Amino acid sequence: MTTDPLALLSGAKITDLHDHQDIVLEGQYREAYDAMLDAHNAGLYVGLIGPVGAGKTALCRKFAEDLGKPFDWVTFSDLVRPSNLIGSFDPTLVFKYGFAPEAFSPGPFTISALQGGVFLANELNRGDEYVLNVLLDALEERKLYVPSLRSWYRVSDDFYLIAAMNPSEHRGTRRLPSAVQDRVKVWVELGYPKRATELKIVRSRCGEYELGAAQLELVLELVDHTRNDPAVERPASIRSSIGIARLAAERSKRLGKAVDNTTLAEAAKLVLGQAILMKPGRSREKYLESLLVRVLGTAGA
Amino acid sequence: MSDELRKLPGDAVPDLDPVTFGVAFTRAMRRQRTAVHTPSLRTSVAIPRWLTARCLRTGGLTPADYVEAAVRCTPLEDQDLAEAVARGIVFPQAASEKPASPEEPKAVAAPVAPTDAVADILGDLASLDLDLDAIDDLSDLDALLAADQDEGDSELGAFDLFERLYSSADPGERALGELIHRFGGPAELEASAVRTVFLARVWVAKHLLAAVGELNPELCAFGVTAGYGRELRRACTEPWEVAGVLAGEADPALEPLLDDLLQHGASRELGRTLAFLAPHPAVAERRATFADAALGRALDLTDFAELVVGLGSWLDPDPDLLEASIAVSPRRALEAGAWLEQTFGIDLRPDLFDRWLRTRPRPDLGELALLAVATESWETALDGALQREVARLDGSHARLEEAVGLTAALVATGLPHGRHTARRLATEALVRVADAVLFLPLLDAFLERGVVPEVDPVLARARELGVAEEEVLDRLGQALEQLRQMVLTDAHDADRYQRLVQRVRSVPAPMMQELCACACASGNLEAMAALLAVDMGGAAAHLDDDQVASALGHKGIGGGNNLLVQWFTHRRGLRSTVAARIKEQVKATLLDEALDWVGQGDGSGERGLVPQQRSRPFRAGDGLDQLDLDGTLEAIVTSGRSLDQVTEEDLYASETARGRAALVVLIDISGSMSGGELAVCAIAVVMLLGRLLPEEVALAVFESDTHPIKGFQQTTDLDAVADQVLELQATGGTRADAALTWAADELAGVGEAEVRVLFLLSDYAFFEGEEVLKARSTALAEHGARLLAASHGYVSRDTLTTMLETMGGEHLEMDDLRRLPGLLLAALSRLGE
Repeated sequence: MTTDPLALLSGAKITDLHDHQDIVLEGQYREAYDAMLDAHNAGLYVGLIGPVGAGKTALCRKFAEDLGKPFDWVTFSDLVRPSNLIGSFDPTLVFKYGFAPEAFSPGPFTISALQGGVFLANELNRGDEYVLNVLLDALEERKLYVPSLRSWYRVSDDFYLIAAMNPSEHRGTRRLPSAVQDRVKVWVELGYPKRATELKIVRSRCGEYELGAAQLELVLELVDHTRNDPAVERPASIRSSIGIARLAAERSKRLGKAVDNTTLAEAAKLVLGQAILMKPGRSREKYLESLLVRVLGTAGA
Repeated sequence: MSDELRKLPGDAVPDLDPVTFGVAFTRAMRRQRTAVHTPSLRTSVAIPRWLTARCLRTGGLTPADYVEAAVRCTPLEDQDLAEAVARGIVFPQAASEKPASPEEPKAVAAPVAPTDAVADILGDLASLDLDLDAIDDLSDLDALLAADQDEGDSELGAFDLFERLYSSADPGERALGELIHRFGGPAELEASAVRTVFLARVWVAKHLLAAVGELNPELCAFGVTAGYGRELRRACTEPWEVAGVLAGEADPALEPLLDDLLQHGASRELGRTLAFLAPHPAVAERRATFADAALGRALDLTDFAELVVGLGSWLDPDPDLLEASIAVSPRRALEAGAWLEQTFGIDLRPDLFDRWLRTRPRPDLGELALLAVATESWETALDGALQREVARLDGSHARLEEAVGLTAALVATGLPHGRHTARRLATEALVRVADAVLFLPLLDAFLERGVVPEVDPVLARARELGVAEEEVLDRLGQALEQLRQMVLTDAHDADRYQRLVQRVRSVPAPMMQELCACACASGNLEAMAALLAVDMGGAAAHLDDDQVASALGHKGIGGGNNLLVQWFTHRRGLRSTVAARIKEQVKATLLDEALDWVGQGDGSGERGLVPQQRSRPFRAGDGLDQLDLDGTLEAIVTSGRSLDQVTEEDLYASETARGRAALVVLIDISGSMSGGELAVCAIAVVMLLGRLLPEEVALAVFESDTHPIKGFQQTTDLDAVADQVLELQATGGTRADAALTWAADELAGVGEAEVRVLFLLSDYAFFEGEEVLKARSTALAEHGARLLAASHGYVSRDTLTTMLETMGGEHLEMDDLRRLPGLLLAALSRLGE
């Protein structure tokens, strides 16, 4: 095993960012995909809105892969600045070349816009308005301005933007500036999938484990309850379903026994313990205990 | 553009094509006044483009595709409305309200090779893909969009529509009519241009869903009957609202919900659930068994009160329950008794007090002031306590200060014997003053608290001490009588009125009526202003709305802080018309008072609580505009290297932190707060929000419910906050669990903040037990928050100590709540240190 940093980096470098994992394209995901495809063909940018863990990013990645285009993304937050999108200058090269293209490192948005890729603006409504305004010219005028180079660059006709975000009532989100909102013309809402679809998703992510259908149903039953219970403010996502299934299977494998309700309960406690958020005044521990007993007949060891 | 329809091959929708549909939809949405977003020209362009792409992919278009296009091209907040509008266009005569089913299978055929017609339409559409600033190209489209022709098909007038629904034999329609009535009636429908049943349903849905969280049992029941059960089930999160919906729909899921509530729910939830089950006769039996089980769980009178109020009919409480309530917290028990008396007219407080007195044979004045009840036994106990307190008075500064506090507490009881006892105590205290220097300040202290001692003994003592009689008389100078004479003689001296109203605490009701009549007759606005300043509720009852609006604060009489105190003390008793008129004036006063404080203190709000400029190593992603040139050059020079040897490690960037503190403010406004105290809290709330950057402060007030005013992630709208704050009412018990949980959630959402503080103003006499409070304090401590505890008057030491030990911090005790804004500013300054 090498400890040479350059060799390590060279050996681990990813040249193909496409995620070749199969995704389950049915139910709401199929409809969303069709809507995105129509929007793309019509030259309309699309916004995907859904709670955490609903599968927005996976869907976008699949979409880009099917279109055969490069895929780049930025996850927006208060800390993202225009230079994180457009690019920045290497100061040491600026000393040498001045403000010239040789000193410029393009950011992911610039790369995507110029080479005609699919750009995912993840958590767009967590970004600062000042930063979002940087996108406007590229979206409408199909040209991109780099201030320090004092030059406009033509955005490729193949460039396509997808905006993904949590609903505006979620903590930490902002209302999108109307200029940006008006340029994203197609809005697709994703919720948590129907049971059958989620079952397929969980199964596809737990391929190496042998989990029975009945056990997976119990996992989904637990997660489903958190989504329908009025006491829960933030319910469990698909990631939680996958997490509970994998953890229970791995634990059983380690202990050399079959997956039973006790194992599921212990896994669920560990995963859901921080995955869900209760309404003010409601105890998460009491809720989980009651839920586990109700669905599994046990709250674990 | 041609008037003929431009149909795509396979388009199965009659009388529409993508372009005309896009235009019609956009026009219709622009007329919807309940829409959050107004669609632009881009929407009318996007819809036909999307439909064309859909047609090319699937080989045809169905009505569902048209509706889906409209919905998809609308922002999420308006998609429900968009669906209704789109369906109205696609199915103009349809009675069905079934939404477009996402499960409908779509025919996926190979894309059809474009024909000339398609190419023709695409050519038109491509021509729309110009720079939208070139309006000339789109002038036809724009003209169509700007046209405001009413194309109503089967529309009634809003009033006729309401009448039809309200008097319908169909229960669902009648319920819809009831809901319209409760949301403003036909006038509101008319204002929103709602003239069809379909749009009326959409309008009602919007209002009903906006009220979720604050529904009452009747609204919930009407909502279910009108057919909104599904939407309410999705939206409602409070268990009592969910119970109301399930009961209305006879849903078997009600049973497990009620079981869960009985196991885990608080009495407040159980009580409200009972109220929400009341409108549904089908669950009457279940409701009765639920009530029995819930009542069996009641631990104290507060629990009992919640349940009985929810039940809506009186039940005699178990004597053991009363004893237990008194033993745990007599104050809470009396508060519950007051609530029951308000609701049912049955007063348990005398019994409660007598029970308590049996356990406490020699209560002190402080305890009796907190447990004030208008009974003979209380008065007798007060007399005994007064004697004991007087015996303790020794003229020392500490004892005299205590006496001042006690008189204020006695006056605050609002009971005549309390005021009488306060007067006697004040007199006894003054006649025992040994040091002349203390005499006048002590007299002022009593007068400021509305306690007027007996003149003769006080004058006599003043003479003995060598204090000037005029000083005493001026202070005791019968301010009320002076005011009366000024009004009767039609005096207009604003300065004198202003000085007098500061010394007059109240005007007896018959005198108020007499003086108001006199002031009205002479049109004396100064007199009216003075009377309103002393007792807004009492005076407003004898003045008409115009007079109140004109006289309030006239020439500065009784304006400023006094106006706020009067508002909070009397607003519930004001006529709604006059309250609405003076609220704007009160709001302006609140903002002025608060912004006066905003200007005080150190630093500037624009730069954040703790603004700091700092230099740090340059890192990848930083722009050259952040380069700290001075720092960089200094580092290079110090290292002795030349410029061409500079590496990125030698570079520094400057950064201005926008604020490194996160301050959560919780203010307890439970039932013991007076109008004056509420006014101070209101000023403090608005002051904080005006003083700090929005992301630095989160603020809520709480009593038995928690009322968030602003979270960290919200922007600050002082006007809206002032409106909200002016409606605050001191009520109910004190439940801190939800408030502390809210505070912890807010702090959890804060990113960078080196200093996190919870400022909590309360008496710390919370409903929750120590375990719960410790858990909440621990959660706050885990977010790095320390406690800045503030109190005035009575404080529950045990609870306070628990919280301080868990979170760390300090306790600020105020002898006067009016110090609160200054205290907060001082706390803010210390945060920066």
